[in-house]
Amino acid sequence: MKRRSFLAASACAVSSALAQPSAPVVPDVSLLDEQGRSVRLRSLLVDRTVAINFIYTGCSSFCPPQTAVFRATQERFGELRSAAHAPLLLSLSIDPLNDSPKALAQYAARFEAKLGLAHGWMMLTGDPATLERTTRAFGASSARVDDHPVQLWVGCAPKSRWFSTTGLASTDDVLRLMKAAAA
Amino acid sequence: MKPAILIAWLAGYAMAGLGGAWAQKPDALVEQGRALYFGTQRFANSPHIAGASLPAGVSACVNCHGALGAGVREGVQAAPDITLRTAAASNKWLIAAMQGKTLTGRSLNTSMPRYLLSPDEQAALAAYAPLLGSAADTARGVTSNELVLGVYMSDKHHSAASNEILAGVTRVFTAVNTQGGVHGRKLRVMAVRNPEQAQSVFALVGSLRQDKALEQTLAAQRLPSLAALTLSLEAVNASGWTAPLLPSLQEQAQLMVRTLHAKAAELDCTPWLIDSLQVVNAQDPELGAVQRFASADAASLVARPARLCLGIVMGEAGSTRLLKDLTDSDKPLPLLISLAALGTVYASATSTLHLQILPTPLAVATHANAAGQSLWASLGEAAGHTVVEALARSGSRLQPEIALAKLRELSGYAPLADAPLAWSRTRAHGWQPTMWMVPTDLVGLRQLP
Repeated sequence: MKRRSFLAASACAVSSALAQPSAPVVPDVSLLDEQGRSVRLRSLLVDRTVAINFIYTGCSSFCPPQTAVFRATQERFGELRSAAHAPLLLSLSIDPLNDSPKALAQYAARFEAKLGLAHGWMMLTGDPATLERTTRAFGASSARVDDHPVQLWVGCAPKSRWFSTTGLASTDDVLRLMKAAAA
Repeated sequence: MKPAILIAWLAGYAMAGLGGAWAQKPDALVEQGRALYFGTQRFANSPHIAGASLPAGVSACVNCHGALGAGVREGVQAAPDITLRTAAASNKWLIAAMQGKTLTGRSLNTSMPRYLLSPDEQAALAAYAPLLGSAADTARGVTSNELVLGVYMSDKHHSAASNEILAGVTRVFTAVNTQGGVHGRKLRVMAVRNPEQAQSVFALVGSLRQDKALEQTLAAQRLPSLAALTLSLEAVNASGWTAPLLPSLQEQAQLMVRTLHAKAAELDCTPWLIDSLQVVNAQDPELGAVQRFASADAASLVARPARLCLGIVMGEAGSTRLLKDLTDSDKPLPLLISLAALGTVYASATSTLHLQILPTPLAVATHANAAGQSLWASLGEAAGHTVVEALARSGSRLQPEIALAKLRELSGYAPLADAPLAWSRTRAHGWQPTMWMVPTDLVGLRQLP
């Protein structure tokens, strides 16, 4: 299958509302991982295929399904083994005042999520202004934390190829988009 | 499969497998269904959603559909109203949960998990479904004309304080009852002395007890501890079942650190924090130039040539002994800060500036002083007013989750004059700590016992 038709097929196969937006202008900011370690966001994206969702630990309705989908995606990373760029899942907190690194770690534990670069999944928080800049770059900023859009971004910075979906993307969707982004 | 056939199949499947379950007492089935809905009982099998397994701890129906079943909106997603008008419609729940479809066969949003319900669970949910959100779905401790709340009486060490709190809550409830109560229900407060007694109340008010074991009990029984008066070491879980009025000792100590930091340059002193309770993280970046010690004795402090500005987070006995020894040594302290909640610490003539951190607005102490009563009695009144306000905002169809949520929305409401609450999603405690200067004549304000 030619690349163009493969991408088109991948896009059509995704059940959530899908868009191929222009690449987000990711700010060069430092965020904190679930261990409280400082990480440069851009450096995480340099050579990886990433899937990014937006969560907060006090969310009881739609963040848990999104997190469960990432958990299942992580288990199926083997399907992405042939991809040239290592897969990475990023869960960005949209409630920095409440979501300390410790809170993120506790939230992850409820899903038995293995976090860290080695496991291909990081949960990030930071100071409010920095996170606001970050979420705004992905169109995920909202005045109220519980008004945030249920959104997923998948991209491969080396390929300058990005997809975004609204609504809950399934595990199959996430994997398919990660393959398409890295193709 | 056509919808009608699907419904018949599901009903047949349910009935065929439910011999034992349907034989249960209806009340027991309803209780089990309610427990499954609200998450106090976990589903036997984890549901699936979008190709993923949803952990049992986050799969309760209430998370998305709310305490009255009216639905919850988040961002562009909205979980629908699932209240039913007839018992005959209970299959709607089962088909939605197990098949992800409506009665007419339409597929539900992919955000609806798919549940693998056991026959027992199907029967229980079907029994409870018609009640959810209706006037008949009364919570424990609630009747059409009465609402029972409890004050948890602490052990003998704090029994006097508990009695004062109970008296304060009772005064508020009595006054409210003379005005007709809340939503037509008279408020009754009872002294709760053990977990068994707690099972007959809607919620705890002004509780002094707070520990992990109790928190688990509260969650298991859907028993909120509203306007609790405990002093936790760290901030409590902002979405847990305890909503305290008083800030944690850690939050109070952080105010102490900020003040030490700010005053050190002004007073030309070296800021030291003696934190024997270890509530301040040694790696806390807010510490800045403030040096933190887990313990200190007067001799080592006196030996220091530097002028020390001292913050003390110690128990009353330890801090009193330390201050006495410093006073005897004539070691000057340009600044001393202590926590009122850990006992009354007076620096006597040792310090030139003595600040004390209160776990309440100063107005609470002023209120107690003006009323000629203990601070605990005023705190009991504050807890009573806070809970009455939350109940009034909760509406007549009362559920514990609703009262807890409404209480946490009371930012700006002042249960006592000039003592506004500041709950928010980012603040698990109702009041912020405040600082006051200890008067040299010690006349005026009464202190926390």
